[in-house]
Amino acid sequence: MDKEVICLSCPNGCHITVQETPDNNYQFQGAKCERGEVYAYEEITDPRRVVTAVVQTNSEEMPYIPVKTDKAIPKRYIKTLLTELYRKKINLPAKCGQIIIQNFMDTGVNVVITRTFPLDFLR
Amino acid sequence: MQERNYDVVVIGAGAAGMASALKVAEQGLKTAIVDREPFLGGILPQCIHNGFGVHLFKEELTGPEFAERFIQEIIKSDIDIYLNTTATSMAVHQPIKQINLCSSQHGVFRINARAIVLAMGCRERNRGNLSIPGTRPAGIFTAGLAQRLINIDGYIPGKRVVIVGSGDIGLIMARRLTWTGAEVLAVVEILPYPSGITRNIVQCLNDFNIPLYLSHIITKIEGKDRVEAVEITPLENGAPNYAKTFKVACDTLLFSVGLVPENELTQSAGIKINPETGGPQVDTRLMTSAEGVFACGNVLHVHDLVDWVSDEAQRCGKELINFLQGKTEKIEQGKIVVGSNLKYVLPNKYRLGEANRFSMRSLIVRDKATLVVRQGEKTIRQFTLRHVKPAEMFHIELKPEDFKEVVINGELLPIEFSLS
Ligand SMILES: Cc1cc2nc3c(=O)[nH]c(=O)nc-3n(C[C@H](O)[C@H](O)[C@H](O)COP(=O)(O)OP(=O)(O)OC[C@H]3O[C@@H](n4cnc5c(N)ncnc54)[C@H](O)[C@@H]3O)c2cc1C
Repeated sequence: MDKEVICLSCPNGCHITVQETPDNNYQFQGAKCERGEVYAYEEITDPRRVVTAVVQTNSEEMPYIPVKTDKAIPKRYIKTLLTELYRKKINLPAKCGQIIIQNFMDTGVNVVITRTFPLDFLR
Repeated sequence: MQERNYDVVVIGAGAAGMASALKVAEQGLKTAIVDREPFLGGILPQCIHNGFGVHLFKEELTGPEFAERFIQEIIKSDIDIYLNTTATSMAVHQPIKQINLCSSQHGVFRINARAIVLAMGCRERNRGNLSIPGTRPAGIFTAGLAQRLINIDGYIPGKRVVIVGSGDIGLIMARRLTWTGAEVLAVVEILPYPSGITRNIVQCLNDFNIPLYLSHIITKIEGKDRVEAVEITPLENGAPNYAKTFKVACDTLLFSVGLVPENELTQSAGIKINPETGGPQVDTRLMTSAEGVFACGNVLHVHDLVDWVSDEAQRCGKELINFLQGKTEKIEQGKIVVGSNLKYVLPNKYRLGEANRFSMRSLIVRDKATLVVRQGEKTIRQFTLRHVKPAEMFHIELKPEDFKEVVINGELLPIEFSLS
């Protein structure tokens, strides 16, 4: 049976038709780049999303700091991850790219800070 | 009153302000950048989701990360940064311009500059712009304000939410709210198609089974102190069918119904505004009706992607340098005419002898649309566009050889764009 997947790899949002072949392989149509095929395969077998959120800090000037997963994480872990993030408190200063959770539940996905504070830290 | 002198002052430190300031400072011009917020980056620090920079940096960044690429450069440069500083008025019709400012650190002061870049961004349309009947309870926010409350200040604006408008900011907020534990009950869109990009419909609504009501409007807001419910009515043949009105109980209503360039400062300085964009009229140099005053980014016209904002801002910086060096002080420019099915074309002029880049928005939704460019009666170029819709700005470039130098009554023959 054909399935339609809308690629989320970039804002283009290609509509990709996925066809399962008799030998249990997949054929893809409609992707403008190879990332699309990788995405469509994953969306069918193991859907993932990048998660972004804010985490509490110890600073009055910047009470919350933004974070993201450094890769897309399997959808079924998102709820647990968010719960853990909302429980956390980070000590500033912090730098963009700094890891706050390593290899979350053995998914190979890290959570990193996406904003440097304070800015003197950039110099 | 304290006075300071610069070559260039940039008003607004969002993507547009930072990119243009960096460009001019690179040439050794003495530059100041001012912003009323306590941080650099404009709207970007509150846009914590990813999806920024795909075109410019070839990778997908979050808003704060995108901003930081520029902030890092600004901090390393010789640009003077004035934060918590609001530009309140300016006098622009003489070679040395005066900008009046007010800041917590310096009080009321003035900057004298040879050129100004307007980069004040835009602001959100709100309930007042829509005139929805009902009471005036608490719990009604614009989507961008809710975004700021959650992502910067750490407040959750409500628990049961209805979103009006399916623009990208509203869609992004639907997911954001769901991830904070709130329940998003409906997204209501007046048009028969969503305004946001497909990607956001999938990852922000479909992922969470949030219903999108197309061709529907909010016909009533209920609640005394706090929003308690809204009435939603379908549009049939362009008119609301009240027989099918239904009620959704909620405590919060978010409006994501478009943005308007922020131009009070511009207008009060006597600079001409283009009614179609809400931003200043500009020529091919991105220069406004006041000589030496330039504009770029959302203050000029609302952009969907920050990549195009930075692009335009860098171009603006280059033009400003050329202008101050006297290279383009007197250049010949022809008029641009906006033909059928286009909301606007920017800039409002063209010039000979070099490539001209234009940004425009369609008034129609169409696959395989044709854009025709005419000079007088003659078609000089034709473009086929894969898909056009009002919510997506598109760009085209005309080559120097596309234009003929035809002068009638002392003016270059206008160029007309039309879409079908
Ligand atoms: C809520 C929202 C979400 C968005 N999401 C995306 C997205 O997902 N992906 C994407 O690519 N693009 C997105 N965009 C679009 C993109 O981020 C913006 O187009 C871009 O960042 C705008 O940059 P700017 O510099 O023109 O304006 P802004 O970032 O708004 O900066 C303008 C600055 O000027 C300052 N200012 C205004 N008036 C004065 C004054 N009188 N004195 C001093 N300072 C002043 C303001 O404080 C502000 O900091 C989004 C836009 C908004 C509004």
